[in-house]
Amino acid sequence: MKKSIINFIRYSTLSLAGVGALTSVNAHAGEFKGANFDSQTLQSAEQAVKESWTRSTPEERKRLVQDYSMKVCTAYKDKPTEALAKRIKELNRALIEYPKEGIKLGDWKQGEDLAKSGYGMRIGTIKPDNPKKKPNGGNCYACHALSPSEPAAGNLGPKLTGYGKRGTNDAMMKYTYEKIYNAHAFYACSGMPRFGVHNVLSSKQIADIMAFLMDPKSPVNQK
Amino acid sequence: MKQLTKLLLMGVIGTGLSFSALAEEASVKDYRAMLEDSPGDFWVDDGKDLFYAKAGPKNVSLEKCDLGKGSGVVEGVYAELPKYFADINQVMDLEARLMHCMITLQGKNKDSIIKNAFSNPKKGKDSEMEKIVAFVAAQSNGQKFQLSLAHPKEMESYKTGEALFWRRSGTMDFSCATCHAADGKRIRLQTLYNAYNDKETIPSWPTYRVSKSTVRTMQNRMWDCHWQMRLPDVDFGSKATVDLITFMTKQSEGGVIQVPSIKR
Ligand code: HEC
Ligand code: HEC
Repeated sequence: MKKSIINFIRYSTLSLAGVGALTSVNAHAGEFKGANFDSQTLQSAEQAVKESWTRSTPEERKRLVQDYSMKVCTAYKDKPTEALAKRIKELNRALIEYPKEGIKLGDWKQGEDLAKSGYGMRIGTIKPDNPKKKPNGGNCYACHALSPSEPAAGNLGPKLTGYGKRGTNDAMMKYTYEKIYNAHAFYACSGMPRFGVHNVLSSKQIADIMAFLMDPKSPVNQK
Repeated sequence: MKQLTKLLLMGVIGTGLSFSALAEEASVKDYRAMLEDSPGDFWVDDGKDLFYAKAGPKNVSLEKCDLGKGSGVVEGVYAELPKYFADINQVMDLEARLMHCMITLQGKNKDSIIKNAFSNPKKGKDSEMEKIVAFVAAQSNGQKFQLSLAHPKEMESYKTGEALFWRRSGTMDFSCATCHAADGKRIRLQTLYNAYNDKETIPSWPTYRVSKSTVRTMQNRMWDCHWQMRLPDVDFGSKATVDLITFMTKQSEGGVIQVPSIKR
């Protein structure tokens, strides 16, 4: 909880940090230059959102609020200008928090379970997911091929089979942790969720998933 | 109930759940071949009875409901929905319009219509809305979707719908476009429809869902995908859902309506 408050504060201060060059884009989403949607259309979408979730609780409706990155990605249909992409990557890099004990590999078996599980964060009238009963998953298989023995893999993201070949040096450890924590720090408007930013995965869970990707014994790295 | 008995007789119910993820696509094909018609046709039959039956506190049928081509006309209306309705100064899809008629003509209560809009066969919960939608939509079978967008509010609905389609939010940072804006994409093994290159998918809704043993409507799909996106439950018949449906329907213009189809 505390972490999400910190993230929230970071979100707001970071969007304020851009005052100056970015005043116009921050002032209103609609003023993004050369965007795919004009300001009237973006405003009308916001109005539609306001009118269309009247039966949810205010707490639930917080999920509908966009941060700066989300606004830019929407306006530019996920293809922001170079300058905006750079800005998004910077803002998202600043959101990454590191484990106190340093970045380490966890248990690949637990990581495998997390990579398979799509449980978590669903809300509404159907029984909401409860992280106390079952941990949130990372659902990596929804979008990535990983272990060669698991054919039920999606293809929204690139194949990660054999990922461990890249090694476990400090740079790879850091990159992998950061990518799972906040994919948008490397790729503005990526289709990959920001698992750390939204507190979907804890740093321990990220360590386990990293082991699943990088441990030479993990099925991801078997022929 | 009527369709349940028929389905049991045909041996349809129960087979749905046994589909393994891998064999999915193939089995739905076999399944289609096995049945000449979609089991959803039973929903159409029941929906017809319900449409013409007196109901609600005012004890009248839906025959006076203007679905876009004058009161009582069901033939071909679905092919032109969503559209602008002057009486309420708003763009509506089939489901929002039916709800409007149930409230204004039949005197039904909005909350209970919404509460009962989606069936839940596992819990024995039935939906009249799903049946009536199946009936009305099927009266456009063989026709092509044609949205004129001539009224400014229709154009606004289309444009807003596209912006909503790309609107990213929630704990997964998803927009509809994350999953539905490219060819050949899959979530696990489920093929994802591409709103920018597809004339078949939207005209196949409402559809009989084998895995759910019931007919599902486009409003249900809007609820379901928002739920998968980890967003709160979107209101049934709301502006966001109608605008998204306007956008997706216009994109699939030219596709021939054939409903209820049958899907996994
Ligand atoms: C909704 C789809 C989706 C999910 C779920 C998802 N990813 Fe991704 N991922 C992508 C996309 C799209 C890319 C390519 C764009 C990018 O690099 O951000 C990607 C890129 C990556 C990359 C960089 C690729 C490389 O070669 O360096 C890694 C690593 C990665 N994902 C790991 C994961 C892990 C681990 C999980 C589960 C915790 C996961 N992803 C879940 C969509 C997804
Ligand atoms: C994370 C990926 C994802 C996102 C985001 C998503 N969907 Fe879907 N959508 C799916 C999947 C998976 C299916 C197929 C579900 C099934 O067959 O049970 C689907 C099915 C559909 C269908 C029916 C397609 C068919 O083949 O009949 C429509 C229409 C649709 N989605 C629209 C939307 C809209 C509109 C949004 C945004 C509000 C959205 N989706 C967001 C994954 C997604």
